[in-house]
Amino acid sequence: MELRRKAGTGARIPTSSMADIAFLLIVFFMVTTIFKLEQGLAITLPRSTAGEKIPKEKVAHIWIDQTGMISIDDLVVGVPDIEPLVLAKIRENPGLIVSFNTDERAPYRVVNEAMERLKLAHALRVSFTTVPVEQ
Amino acid sequence: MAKFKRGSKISADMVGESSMSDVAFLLLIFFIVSTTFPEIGLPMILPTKGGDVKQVKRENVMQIVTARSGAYFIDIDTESTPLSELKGIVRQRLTDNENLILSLETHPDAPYGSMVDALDEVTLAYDELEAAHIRREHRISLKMLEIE
Repeated sequence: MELRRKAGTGARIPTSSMADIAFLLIVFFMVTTIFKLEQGLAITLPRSTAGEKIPKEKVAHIWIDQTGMISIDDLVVGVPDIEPLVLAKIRENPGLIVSFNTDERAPYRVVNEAMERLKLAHALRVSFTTVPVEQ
Repeated sequence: MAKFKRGSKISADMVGESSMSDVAFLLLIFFIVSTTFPEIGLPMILPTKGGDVKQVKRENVMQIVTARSGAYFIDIDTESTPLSELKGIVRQRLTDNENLILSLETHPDAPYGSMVDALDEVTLAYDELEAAHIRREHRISLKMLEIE
């Protein structure tokens, strides 16, 4: 039997599987992406009609639930802890807006105490997070 | 002996199109999951602690007191004012007196939601008067009633 050697084998790279590789990369990065999630506390937000959009990148959240429990960065904190925590945040981001995610049934006293601590930390820009009312 | 056909008909350069819809849905689901809605809130600027204390004339202050029950009282009224009427009264007082400062005073045990409702109405009143160049910055003050 005679075997003939093929002459001039072209150096071709198969390009049809390039798309597969691209999608593999997309899927890989999608799966490995972790969203920064904040657990917060279980609350019912008050409603408002005059609410404005608050830029997310400047916001730090304070959660206060119905019983007056305060949470910052998923840690339940006492009123005296607010000042150092917010102070550290405001050093990183001087334009910080502290957003109150407070239950509508929470006593006003707790919110007032928290605001007094914010004044001490010179975090003067605040926002009261609400749920928009459909008109 | 079986004969093998040289060269299959499917060319190596073809990309399967049937899985394109899978990819499209994957992308769709990814973006649905990763989308977050903008936060809605009522912005406020707090005064500095012990900072510049300004003397304000009595007639330039309108007090809106939120009682423990969540009822609203304007100035020294003994009759409570329903929330729906608050906006109209604030707007009237603001058109009468441009230098008016609104003081929202809340009972420590009053629910936070009722304070926000009042703040919402006041903000709305200011927004409606914005064309008349009445700004709300530093014109709303939040206070807690001191109860002995």
